[in-house]
Amino acid sequence: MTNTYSSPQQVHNMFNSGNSGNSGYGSTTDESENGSPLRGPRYLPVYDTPLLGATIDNDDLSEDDASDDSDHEHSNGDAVNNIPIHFKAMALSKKVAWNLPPENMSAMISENDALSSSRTGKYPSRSRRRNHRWMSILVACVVVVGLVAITNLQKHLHNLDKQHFRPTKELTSDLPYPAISRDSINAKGSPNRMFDMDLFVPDMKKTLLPFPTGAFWTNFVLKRDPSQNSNNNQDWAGQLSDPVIVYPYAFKWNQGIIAISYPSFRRIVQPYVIQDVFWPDISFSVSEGVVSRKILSYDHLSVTLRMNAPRIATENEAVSFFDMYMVQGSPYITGKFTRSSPKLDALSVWDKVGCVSDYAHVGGLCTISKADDQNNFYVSMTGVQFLITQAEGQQWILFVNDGVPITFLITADRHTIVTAHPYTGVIRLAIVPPGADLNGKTVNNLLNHSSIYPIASKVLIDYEDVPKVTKLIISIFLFLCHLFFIFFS
Amino acid sequence: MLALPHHKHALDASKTTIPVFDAPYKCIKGDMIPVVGNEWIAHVEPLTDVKLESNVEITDSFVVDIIKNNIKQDEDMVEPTAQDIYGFGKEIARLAQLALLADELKMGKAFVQGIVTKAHTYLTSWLDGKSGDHFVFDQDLGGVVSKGSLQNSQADFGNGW
Repeated sequence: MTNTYSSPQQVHNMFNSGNSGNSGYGSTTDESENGSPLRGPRYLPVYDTPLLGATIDNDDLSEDDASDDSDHEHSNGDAVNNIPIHFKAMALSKKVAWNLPPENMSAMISENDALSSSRTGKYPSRSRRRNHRWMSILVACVVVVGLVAITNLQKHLHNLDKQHFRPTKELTSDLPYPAISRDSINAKGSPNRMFDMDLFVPDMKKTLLPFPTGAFWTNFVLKRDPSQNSNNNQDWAGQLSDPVIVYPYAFKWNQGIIAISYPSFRRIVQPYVIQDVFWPDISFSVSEGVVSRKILSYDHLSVTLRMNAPRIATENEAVSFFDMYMVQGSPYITGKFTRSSPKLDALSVWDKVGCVSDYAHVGGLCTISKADDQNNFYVSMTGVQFLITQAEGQQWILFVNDGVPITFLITADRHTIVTAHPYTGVIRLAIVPPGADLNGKTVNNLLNHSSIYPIASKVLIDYEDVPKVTKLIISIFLFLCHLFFIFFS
Repeated sequence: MLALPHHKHALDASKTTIPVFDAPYKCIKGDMIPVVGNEWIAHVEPLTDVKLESNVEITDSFVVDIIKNNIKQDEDMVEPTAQDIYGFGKEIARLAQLALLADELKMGKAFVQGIVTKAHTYLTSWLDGKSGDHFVFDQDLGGVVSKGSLQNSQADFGNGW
């Protein structure tokens, strides 16, 4: 069970030649075709193509807002037209005041001023009243336009959610070398032989060119060598994937669960070796069971997994699933559930469940029901923030993100925490770092920032030419936070 | 969100909020740095300028003579004829380096051009795709690779696949 971090690196090395080839893939010509002229001889590798246009236009964000919207109207999801959408979304996340184009915003503000003055009791002249009538019509129009803009925007961003990987493009070369498909020569290194391509949503397969052999999540789709399993004493462990490290956590998955670990909890320090060890501390799943699983999307810093539960017969065959957003650097583990019942299985047992508010200054709504006070036999917990402790000693804070209290049941064997009813919403889990005081700043920050969750990322690279010094600025536009939340909070 | 320890030096301090944690999140790369906000801006200093020419001139004429002599000997010693791209790459790089040294030591245009022409001839045979383990374009992963390395992970000194 001692999985070191060598695995992703092995995957990477295995495809070393392929990767080094990628950078040679003719990206310059593609760029000019896409209408994103490149500044100077420097250009990004093809991976970053959709972002490049955005970087260059960065200075003109505000002016371009309105014209972008019209561009979006005739984008039908093909690669070239998608580029402005990326750019748009980044602009929005940057400006925060994203919901209306700037000129409409100012219009609204001035209209509101006019209205409020009319309410102060001063009776306006007839012409001013007429003005007001026109103005209120104008306001109505502006509001309608604004709402339409917001709706469109959310639609675009919804699309973005699904399509934010990379342009659909056949791999071709202008170089005079014969093109060879790995399958045609039965090469062992063929993606089809190395990777479980069924683990990608169908739309995504087209965009997997070139295949991301060195991505941090490649272990999720790497086919297991059956001969390895016989060496493993624990059969169930053999079925889990190799670990994917999403700092500070690590994940494995199989047909039914996503196993979560905080590997540094079991750090082994020797004179020349420091090793973090993966143990499936918590198995994330749904009580309905998982019937299929897919990689939904990915980018440089994130990957989203979908676990599908059976459709619900009593609800018109409604879909039931949950998505896990795995974003590098997130102290929270985030699952978004749709008509499914989140289930947390402990590695051994849940030692204790409690309320964050019992220990920390702040803490969300929470009540615990025990069958018997003396034996600490927990039955259920209802609320939005819980402190759950494993027998091995890890303390986790469990967040229910939508503000509506939900009820979790604790099974009699203390192995499982599961919601009483199917749930639609976001559930987050954050380990309390060993040594952290529940009244301390770590936990305080965790509680303060739990409401916004990252679902994806963008990386922009900008080159700033200063006399004699070329400065490379990498702006990492991280975390297109969930827009619904930003808008309503 | 949490940044890796080495990000801290690159993050723009004026635009980054770094709260103090009483206990850090840890990863194999060290204690992670908490960062508030949905946008991180990192500045990366440019690499030092690297030129092909030497920064220092060799003033000792005795040393210069020895080097010139060696260049003349080495130039004919090993022809870049390896049938694999790994070996050929090393050979052709050596030849190119000799041309560069000869140029630096002002051994005459004709002499330098002679080495360059030779390098050009050998390189062309590879770039035309006519050499032993020739190049192919990998349709699955993109990029140019040697044909043998597609089938054998041990090809090109273990750089296959």
